[in-house]
Amino acid sequence: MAKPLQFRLDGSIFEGVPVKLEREKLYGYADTIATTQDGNPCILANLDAGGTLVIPPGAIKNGTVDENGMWFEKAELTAVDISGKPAELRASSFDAPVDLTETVSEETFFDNVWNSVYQIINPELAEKLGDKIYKFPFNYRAGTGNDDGYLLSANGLVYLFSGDAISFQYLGLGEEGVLDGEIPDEEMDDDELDFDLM
Amino acid sequence: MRAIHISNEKKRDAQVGFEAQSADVKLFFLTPEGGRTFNERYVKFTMDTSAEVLEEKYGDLTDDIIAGDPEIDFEKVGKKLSELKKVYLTSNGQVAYGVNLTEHIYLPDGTEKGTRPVTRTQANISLDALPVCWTGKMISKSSALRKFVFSRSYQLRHVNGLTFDFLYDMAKTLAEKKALMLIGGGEKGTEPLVMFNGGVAYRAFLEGRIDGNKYMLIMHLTNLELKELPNA
Repeated sequence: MAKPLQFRLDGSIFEGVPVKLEREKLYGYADTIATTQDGNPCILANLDAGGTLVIPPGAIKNGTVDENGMWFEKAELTAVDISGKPAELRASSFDAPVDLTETVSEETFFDNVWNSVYQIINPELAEKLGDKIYKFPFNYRAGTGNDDGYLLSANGLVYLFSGDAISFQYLGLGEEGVLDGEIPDEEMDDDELDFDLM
Repeated sequence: MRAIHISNEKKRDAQVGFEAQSADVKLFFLTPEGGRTFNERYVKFTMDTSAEVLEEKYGDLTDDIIAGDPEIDFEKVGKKLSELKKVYLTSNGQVAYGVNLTEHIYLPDGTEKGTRPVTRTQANISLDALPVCWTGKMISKSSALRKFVFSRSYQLRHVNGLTFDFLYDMAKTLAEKKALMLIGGGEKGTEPLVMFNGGVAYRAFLEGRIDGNKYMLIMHLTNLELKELPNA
């Protein structure tokens, strides 16, 4: 059984198991199958920038190096915050009840890049949340990272958004931009369906 | 800054800029000596040194690995990678040309629904395309954030004095109504937006904020609704 999250709101504890909200769970998905002219299946691989090296699937390793190109394992590194102080180790949000004390505006909620969204089924919590949006530090796992977590209710369900804040700036007359030329290409996600909400 | 061709409620159109904002960086990783670190990608193995190829060639590799290093291509393994291109290979590892691409569509329960040929989307926001327009369909901020997951946001920016007034007025209208405006592409202004060639189609909503004689006009993109998951 998946572990539930607990929330403390106005002295009461509410709990629920977060289930990740994903497009394929709601809309299905698409797999792209490539075949040769003879109908034989192909596999997707990568080509290096020079176009001379074929890199088979699974053959790319992500690594961390210093300015001299020396390789370091993650365990050898020290996480620091923007002021240079060692980052605080945080417990997982699943280890203790999350206190819901800070509410935020809709604009603050909009100013985020979301990493994950979870559905939590708890009608009592959904009703208690009302039309408020609560913000709290959220760690899915214990460690140095911490996302901002937001909790709100919608359609009788509770949703937990996990993400990072972004900052938009107000623009005055003198702060105009300069336009680029061409439209770049983007890697198309193979599992995206057409999407029509209206 | 990239350009978007957009029109307002009075069907006046203009080309303005848009840009994404990155999340504020919270953590950095330092070496034991306190040096900066960078993330890089490297070649781990090659076509000739994959597990499948080695097994086929050598069978039990134990003695060969003790005697030499057949599993490592010293020229290529460890090569730093920058831009990569996708390529299709045949079953015998050769680059495939004239590949047929078919999409197999599956329902959420995994049942195959059908197939269709893969089509490459074209961006529909540039001056070459019809302007992205106000649909007139507004939704309150409170309702919008409880109906959709906005996975991307771009800020619109003026490029001269005229477009400053153009965008400022849009932002002011939306700020006063405390609502988002659905915008769309295509002839009827109902199509989702495709920001890049080959990109994903998103529904887009404009949000406006005003601070004195300054404005903020943000385009929020979504392709996911806040709906109850089946069998959750």
